[in-house]
Amino acid sequence: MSITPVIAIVDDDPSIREALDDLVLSCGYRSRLFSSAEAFLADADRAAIACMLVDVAMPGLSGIELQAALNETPADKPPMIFMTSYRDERTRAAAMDGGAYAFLGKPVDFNQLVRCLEDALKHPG
Amino acid sequence: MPLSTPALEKALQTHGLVNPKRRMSARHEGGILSLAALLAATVFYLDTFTDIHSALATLYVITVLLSAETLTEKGTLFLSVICGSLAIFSYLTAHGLQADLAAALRLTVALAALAITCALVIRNQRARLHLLRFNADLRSSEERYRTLFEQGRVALWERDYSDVRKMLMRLRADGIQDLRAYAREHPAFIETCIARVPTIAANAAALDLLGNVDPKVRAGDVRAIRRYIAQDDATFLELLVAIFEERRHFEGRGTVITADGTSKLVLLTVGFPQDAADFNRVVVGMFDITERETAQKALFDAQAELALASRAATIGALSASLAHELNQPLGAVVVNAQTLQRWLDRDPPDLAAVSRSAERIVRDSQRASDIIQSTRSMLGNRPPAFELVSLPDLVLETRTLLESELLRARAVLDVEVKEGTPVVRAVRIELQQVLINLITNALHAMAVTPEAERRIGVTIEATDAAGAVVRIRDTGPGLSPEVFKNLFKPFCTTKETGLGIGLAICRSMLEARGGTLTASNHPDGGALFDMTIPIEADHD
Repeated sequence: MSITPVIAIVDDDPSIREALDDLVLSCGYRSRLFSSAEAFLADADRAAIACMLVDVAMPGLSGIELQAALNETPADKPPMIFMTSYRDERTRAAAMDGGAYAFLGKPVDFNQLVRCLEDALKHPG
Repeated sequence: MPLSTPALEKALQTHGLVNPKRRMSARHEGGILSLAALLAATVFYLDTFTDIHSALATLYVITVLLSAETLTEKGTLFLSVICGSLAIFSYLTAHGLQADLAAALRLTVALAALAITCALVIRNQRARLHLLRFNADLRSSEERYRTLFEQGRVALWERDYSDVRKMLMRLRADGIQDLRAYAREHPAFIETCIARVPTIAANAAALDLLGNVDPKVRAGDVRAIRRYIAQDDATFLELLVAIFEERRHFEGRGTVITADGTSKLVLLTVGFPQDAADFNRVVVGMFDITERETAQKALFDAQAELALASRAATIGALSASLAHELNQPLGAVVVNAQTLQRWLDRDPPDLAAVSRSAERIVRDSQRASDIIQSTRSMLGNRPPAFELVSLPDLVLETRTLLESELLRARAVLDVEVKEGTPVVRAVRIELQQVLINLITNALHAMAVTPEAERRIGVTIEATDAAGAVVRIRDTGPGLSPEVFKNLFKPFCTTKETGLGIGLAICRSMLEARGGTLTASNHPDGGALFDMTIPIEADHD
């Protein structure tokens, strides 16, 4: 039996969340939506998550800080795909150093995002 | 009798009979008095003791005339009375109280002659005294003027405008009415006039203003001063116009070149005499306002820079926040649209999902539009200050504000106010910003124009609709089709330093109040900008 992969979407903007949710759905996956990094960390059932789509700039913990928090936990971390409107090199380097799977600019290139998502699910890590 | 003269004279003087202010030497005067006394004695002797039947007593007149110079008014009167008494005494001695008609007639003639002479001498004396006092007054007035001129702390020049005045009056007699137009048509006119105004004197403060001037000038040869007074053509022309229109006063700004070659800005004041004959000595006062001007210029530059910087900062901040705000809904729209495509591409298409995506696209687009709307209203919520604005005053004030720019660019700004220009109710600072922008643009545009032709014409007139139009025309190369196309687009500039938002902002500023800003090329060359302003500005 094939398990439908679950994608976590962490973004403070509801429109983006919904749009990404639909996108993931159209790709044939399931998604779980989180409005903040804190909400994601508070979730007990993270083991099922196959991949993450994370906004960099969010009120409270940023995407980069969420990555750092996850890196500190012993459990395996799903591949993280970052999305941001601020394309500055420092943040990008920080994300990649922290083991990000990809770092995409906003507004996201749809095909690039779909390709990225498929790759991440095929070759996690 | 001559021996006693000094004593007599002294006695006379103490009684105020002799003029204390001698104009002749004492000996001379004494001689004259003695001669007069001798003559009187002789006449008395002949009249009394001889039997000559003629009006001998008339000869007393000579006594009075002789001593007229020496005696005071009182003295002359006294002498006349004595002479008259002597004549009467002689008559009485000779004829007693018997009536001798011929003798009595002779006496009457003599007395009348004496009285008339006395009156004439006194009148003459009074006139002379008056003249003397007048002269003294004049001298002290002249002295006061000299003191003022020489020692005043204000730089003063005395210049001879009589030649130029004659020339101007001749022009007027020839039917010239507009001297400015005449000067435009005859480029050598001003130079000719300048050459015909010699400097006659300059005071110490004036020489100080010029610094270490030519020794020749220090030595009093003030004609050598001419090369220091670099009255620029525009100011000098205005001065000529003042003479031409027979105004009594002129005030303007000019430049003087100091000995070390730097130029100083001066405020020029000239009072013209009422009498044409006095134009040979016209006093020109100059106040050094370089520092004040420099400070004002620095202030203005700083303000302009600040305005530009804050405008740039506002735009920068605005676009950053707009970009951020808009990025979210627009990003969502893109993702939704592409997802929609995927639902459609399925076989069979998932129409329920398509419809869901479409709804989201509509919603997010609406949100983007709301953001723009609220930004706009946020920008516009500062209450503007409406006031009554006289456009001619505003233009003149702006010209003063930009005076140093105009001077530096060697350009002239003419203002023409057509009749019936209304007062408008507007936000003054906005109109002034637009004017400054347009005039500054015109100055930049004329950098390639020959100096003598750099001219900005500002015309103010009423429009058909309830409003006014201010036209700004320059003598630059005009707007090329390339520039013209992008003129009012933001971030389009022909200047190295400009932000290129000037004209776009100007236009939107005017349009927000119901006005317009249009550009064209004048048929006779140069760019022409028309700003129309409604009498009553729109309150958003």
